[in-house]
Amino acid sequence: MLRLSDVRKRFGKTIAVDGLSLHVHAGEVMGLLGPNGAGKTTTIGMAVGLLRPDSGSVSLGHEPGLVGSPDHPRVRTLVGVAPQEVALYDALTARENLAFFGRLHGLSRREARARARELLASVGLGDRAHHRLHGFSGGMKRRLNLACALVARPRLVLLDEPTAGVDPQSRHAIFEIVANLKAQGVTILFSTHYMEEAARLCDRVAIVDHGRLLALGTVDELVSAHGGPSVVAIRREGQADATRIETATPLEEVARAIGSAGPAIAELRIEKPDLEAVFLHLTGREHRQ
Amino acid sequence: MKGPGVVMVLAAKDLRLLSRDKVAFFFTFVFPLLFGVLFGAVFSGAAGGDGPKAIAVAIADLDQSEDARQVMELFLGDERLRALVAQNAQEAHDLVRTGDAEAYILIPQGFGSAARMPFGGTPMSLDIGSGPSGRATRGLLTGIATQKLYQHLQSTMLDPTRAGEMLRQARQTLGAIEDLPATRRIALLGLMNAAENAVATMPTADADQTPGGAGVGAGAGAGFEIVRIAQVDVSAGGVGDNPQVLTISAFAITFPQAVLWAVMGCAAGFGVSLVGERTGGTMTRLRVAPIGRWHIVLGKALACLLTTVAVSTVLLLVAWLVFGVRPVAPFMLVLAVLALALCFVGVMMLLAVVGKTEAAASGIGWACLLTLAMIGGGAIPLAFMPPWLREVGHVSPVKWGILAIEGGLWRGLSPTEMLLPIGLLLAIGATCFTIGAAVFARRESR
Repeated sequence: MLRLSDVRKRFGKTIAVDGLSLHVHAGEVMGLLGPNGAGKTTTIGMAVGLLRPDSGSVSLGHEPGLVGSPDHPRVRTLVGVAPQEVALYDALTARENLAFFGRLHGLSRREARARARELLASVGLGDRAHHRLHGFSGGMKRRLNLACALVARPRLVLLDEPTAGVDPQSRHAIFEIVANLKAQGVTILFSTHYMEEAARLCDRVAIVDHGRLLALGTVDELVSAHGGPSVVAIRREGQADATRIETATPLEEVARAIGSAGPAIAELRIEKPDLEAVFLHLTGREHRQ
Repeated sequence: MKGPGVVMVLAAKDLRLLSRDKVAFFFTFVFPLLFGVLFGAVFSGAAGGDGPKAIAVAIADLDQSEDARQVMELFLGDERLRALVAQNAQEAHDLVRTGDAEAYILIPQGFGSAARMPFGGTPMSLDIGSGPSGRATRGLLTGIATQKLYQHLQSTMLDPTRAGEMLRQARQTLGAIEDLPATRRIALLGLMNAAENAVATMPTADADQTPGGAGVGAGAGAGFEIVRIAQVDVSAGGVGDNPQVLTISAFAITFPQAVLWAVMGCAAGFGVSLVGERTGGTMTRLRVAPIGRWHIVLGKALACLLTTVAVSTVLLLVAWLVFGVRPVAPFMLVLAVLALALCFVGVMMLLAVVGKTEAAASGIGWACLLTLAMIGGGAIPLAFMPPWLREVGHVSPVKWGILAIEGGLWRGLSPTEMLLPIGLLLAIGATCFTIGAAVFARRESR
């Protein structure tokens, strides 16, 4: 559905994307995980034709006659984008915003209005359809921003950090929308730096940093490959701190601890590696801008 | 959707946004209308009271003679003057110094004596003073004062009693000249005898024949006139046409300027809004939509064009229906409005790429537009500008815009004469649009 082949992009002396290759299959949800400045937004920009790669190629589509560069307007009919910043007209109402972008995507006036009504209901803004955006909260704008990406029923949706800075309710609503899209077979590229989002929503996760693809796979594959060993923490009666044992077979280590002589076990805990461990392992622990 | 439909959808969105932006709406529609009405009222003297066309003048009679009183009345009765009577020279001076009067006229002591002896060697005199910026006012007052003195002299000559008195005094003066050749003395005495006979047969001056202050050089009723000067405004039509038809309203000057301010407001507003699409993120959505970059540019251009034509039409209709500024060449006026709108659509496109933020684009844009307006006659009519500035104004589309609008409104320019301003407007617009669109496309293709 989306293929980026060895794409590179430089802004002045800064290399934003450095030879990144990625293939998002039709119907899957792929997470683009990386720290700030990793090149996620630039990658999405190139994927939809907002930015032109210095080298490499981008191809969209999976149907005959609808495959090609996102520079072609016809190919872009497949795509919906929710930019990182809310990109809507504050002086227009929620319905007018959706209907306007629907018209640009080729919907008739009637279709655009009907689709706007449908989407507003689905993102919980049905009762605010005729309100201008001036009075909307950040979460409401985020939901509308996402709805706007879906107005033309795209086959590929790119969400650039859609949950940044939203309240838990709006975040939950966005998760539900993504889950519904996934159920409908829509292909989604989801950029985030929240591990739990990626683990919860994505079929596969691509971890990027400094414009390079560091790892790609399902969460389990990434954890297995880059998460390191599990840790068994055991604290016996009379001990102040737990003893931590790194092992590839934590259950065997637990059985061994229970069967061994000595003071009774006061606390026993298995710490399995997770996506955050993978992320920190791959991208390091130093602070980013 | 096909290209034209996309462009119209984009333009409709911009028009809707404009209608909801109260500040932009004010500067696009309301401010130009206020400009045209207020300045038109000021220039035409329709602001009420004596109106600004009447010169405020302090007049002091220092002679207190009958002749001085009569001349004073002539000044007080002149509609071109708003006379403030001062008791003495110092008060007249103070009225000018404090700004209550633009100038003063003093009728000095001895004025009556000189008036009674018009052929006695000492002429009637007046003192005229004004502030440092009143050279034109002083010149105008000198003309009016000269006219009044002639009127007074004329009325005096037509009064048999006063004329007889003057001739008797002249005869005495003639008798006192000892070295006058005999032949000349005889000739002059004969002339005086004839004059006295003529005066003796004149009817007594009618009280209603007190001279008024009508036209320049107007005579005192049934008497003679030294000179009569007709004043005609030059506009549409040829030499010899009825002067009544050719009268130019001040609103015919200020409404073309108002149209230019409206057009500049549109150009600045839509230019900044295109920058706002970029900074507000909506450009991202527009560019991801299955439309071309040219659709985005053309949508903005169409919205700007429609708004410009609409506001120009409204202003010109108000000028016509409310202030009676009827266009002498409606078709030329339509062409002028279209050319002006196209020109400033180009200017809008250029303004949209001069700054990367809305504040920068607005600041730089208005600085450029105000400069163009100043040198192009958008603020002060070119007629009031020094010649060198009028030459500089050739580079300003404001100048050609005003000329084109005036060409259809009251100048009555022929199609051939309209070619220059309309051609230049289109050329400036095309150049600005090409540069602006090229920079826009380059920026958006990174």
